[in-house]
Amino acid sequence: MIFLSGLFIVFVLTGYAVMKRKQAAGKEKTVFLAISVIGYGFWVSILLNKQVDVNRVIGWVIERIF
Amino acid sequence: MEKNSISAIQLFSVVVCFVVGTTFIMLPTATISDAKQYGWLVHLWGAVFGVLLGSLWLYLSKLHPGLSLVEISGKVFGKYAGGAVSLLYVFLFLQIAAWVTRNLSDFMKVAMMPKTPQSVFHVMALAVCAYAAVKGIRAVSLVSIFIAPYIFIAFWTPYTIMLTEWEWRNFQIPGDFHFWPTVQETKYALGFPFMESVCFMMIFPWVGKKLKTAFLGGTAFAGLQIALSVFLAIGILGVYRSSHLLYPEYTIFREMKFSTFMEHLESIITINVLLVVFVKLSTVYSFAVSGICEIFSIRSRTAVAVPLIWVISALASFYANVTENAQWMKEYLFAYYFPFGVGIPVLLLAGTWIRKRLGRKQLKEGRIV
Repeated sequence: MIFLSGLFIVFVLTGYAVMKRKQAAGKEKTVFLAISVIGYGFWVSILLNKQVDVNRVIGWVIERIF
Repeated sequence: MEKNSISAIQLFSVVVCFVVGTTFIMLPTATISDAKQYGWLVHLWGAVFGVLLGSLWLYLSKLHPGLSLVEISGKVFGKYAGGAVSLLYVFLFLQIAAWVTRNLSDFMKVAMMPKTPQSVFHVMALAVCAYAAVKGIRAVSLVSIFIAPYIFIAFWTPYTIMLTEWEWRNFQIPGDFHFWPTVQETKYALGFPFMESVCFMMIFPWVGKKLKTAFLGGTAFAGLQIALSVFLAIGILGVYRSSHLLYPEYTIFREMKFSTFMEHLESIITINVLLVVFVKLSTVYSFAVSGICEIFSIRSRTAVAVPLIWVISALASFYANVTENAQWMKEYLFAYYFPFGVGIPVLLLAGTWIRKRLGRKQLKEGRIV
């Protein structure tokens, strides 16, 4: 967990540094951060063994509809 | 991207690689298990279905020249509803990417490296494909021009040599063939891979001449290859063995032995799998990145492609195991793909016609006034 969090922080900081150097727009920085946080959230859920099996959720929804 | 930036041969090659992609490692067992010695026919009518569906998408694209799937959704359904539909498609692309990544890591774990954690395969494959996605579909399609002929030769040459093991009695299993019940039982083979090809609507505007021939021809050619490979798998291994092996075509290659110094030909099929799956993954990854960039008006593809490695690698790790994945595919895949492959395109078509009629009516009323 500590390794994952450290990796995430390094990833985001490096990404921001590169985007700052390339004078990226604010919207690009926001999307970069948003996608990274979603991915990090997914990985945390895996490490905590609380992941949502997307296949099962879709299967459950399809069974409710049909 | 500019119009005509993708040639017909590039589209043809990338469609062939995309359709063959994970299909020839995932589907043969399932279709042979469900349709027995008629498993190869399932892929034939799947190819016909793919061509018909492709014609619908091409027609829709023709009504909106120069617009991708995301842009058509925005134009027909409006900014918010269209945006929501586009996000659904992006989620579909990401999920297909996650499935492909998982299929690749399952294959590598079972066939080659059983002790390596699957997340290692996920991150390594996605890092390469993220680079391809940044470069765009044009780069991927250029690579596929070299890969498509190679996999064709490297797969079919040794595979047809195995015809020495052919047994016609493998097709003489007692049991009647009922068309509609078989279609019903194997409907997942219509969804995967033929409904997945809806993602190519993202690049239809960028293809030059012979768009229809390239797309429909690629779909039909790949479908025929899959059908033929299943036909040969049944004739070589038999229905019982083919339907009980995880990867029957891999097993055929593993059991090949031409002489004492030519063994372990399964490495050929492993390289084929890696090449073709990487093209499929890069293609769908690239479409997901293009979709997000178009929805949020972002210019830098890198800012989207790189963090998606986190998302797709995690999504690929969510599924329990290969058996559960195959079971899910059999039960829900067709119902899941149907809205994306048929439902929304038909709604877009209806929306286009209604808007055109309303437009004409308003024009007429305007003239009268």
